[in-house]
Amino acid sequence: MNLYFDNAATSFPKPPQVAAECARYLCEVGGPYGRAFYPRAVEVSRTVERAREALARFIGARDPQQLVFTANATHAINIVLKGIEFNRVWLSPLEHNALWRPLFRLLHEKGIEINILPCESDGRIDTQRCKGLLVNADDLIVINHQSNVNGVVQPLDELREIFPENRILVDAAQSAASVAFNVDKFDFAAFTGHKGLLGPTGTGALYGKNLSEVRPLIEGGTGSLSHGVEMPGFLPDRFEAGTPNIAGIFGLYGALQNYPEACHTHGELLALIDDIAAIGGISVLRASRGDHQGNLFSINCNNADPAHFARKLFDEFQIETRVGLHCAPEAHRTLGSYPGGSVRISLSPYHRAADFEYLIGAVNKCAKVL
Amino acid sequence: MREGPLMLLLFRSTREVISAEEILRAAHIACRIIPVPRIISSECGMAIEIDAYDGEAVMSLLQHINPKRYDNEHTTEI
Repeated sequence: MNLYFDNAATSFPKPPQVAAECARYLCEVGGPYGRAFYPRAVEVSRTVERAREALARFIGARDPQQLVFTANATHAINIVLKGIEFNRVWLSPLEHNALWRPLFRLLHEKGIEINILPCESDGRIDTQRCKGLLVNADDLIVINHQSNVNGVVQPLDELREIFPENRILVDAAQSAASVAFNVDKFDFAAFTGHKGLLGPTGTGALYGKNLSEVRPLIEGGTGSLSHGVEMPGFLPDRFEAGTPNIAGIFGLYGALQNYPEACHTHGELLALIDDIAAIGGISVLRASRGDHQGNLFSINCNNADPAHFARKLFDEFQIETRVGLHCAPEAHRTLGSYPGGSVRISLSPYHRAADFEYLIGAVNKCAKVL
Repeated sequence: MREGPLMLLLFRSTREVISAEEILRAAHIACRIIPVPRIISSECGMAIEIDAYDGEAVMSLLQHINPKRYDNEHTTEI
């Protein structure tokens, strides 16, 4: 039985090759990425580059050269927000603090203007109303592809068509591996390795067009152009100062090469949400339409404190969930669940129908007593 | 590697070195990763040494990367 339902925070379990590859680096291969010529360093460098190519293939990116490794999606997002010029930004209504906090800083330091795109009741952007907005061509648009609170998937392709001239940053932290999109249609896309990609923590990536025009967030040694004090203009070195998380990248490569088939279907996910929503006293934060639903959702029970609900699920049924605001207070404001938050249920490809049945039974029993 | 004149290829980044090495190995062209000689660069990374005999074929295969070429004395850019 898999009772871990907090995969939107960090996925677990991982394919066994993830730990094996991390250990292979730490125990056998060792050595630096670049910076040296001996076979150990070459083997490390070769594996890091194979991982880069594997990740580009996995996300459907045309050019691995345009993919730089980061520590996580938050790091990738910060590179973009602090490395390009813009005076005004338009956000999806379900953004995470990974966006809000750097933007709040830019609001105070540079006086940028922050606007929220119009949405429907589930937080999905209302593209019809977007068409009437006065958006300048140099405004930045930021879209959290899949909400980390209710799992709503945003209409990226429609937004690209409505805003053909604008730079669009896609936060794919939650959608990577489960909701495909054409990454080459967008200016920037941020990924993390430790959620849906099933890799280790401390791995992530930024993919984008014209990254060589973005200012680096972190500067330092790259093993290239060592005689100069300026960061290289070419990729990936421009954004990879300092030794990267090599053990993590080995592990991420292991995950991508051994990615499991999902043990449940989208229909079974929707049936799970329907069954939980049908329990008396339970309210569900979810997409209004099944085809807009990603692999997570949130629940509340009567007027109980979500923390009490989550604790009961764990203490009595050993079900692990994430409770609170999920680092997305604006999303909860949009969905009407602020400040209490919710209990989030987030799935992994390893969940099976039997796990869903157990979860439904546990929620049902909790709802009767809370 | 044959016994004869060698050619040195210099790249901008580790990624370019690794990509080039994979291409050359797939084409069964002998190559070896060596440290960059100080006389041509203060670079701390990798260069690729090949038989000079293979130079034209190699440059054709690596056209998209366009490495710098040096002769076997590691002093003269070709």
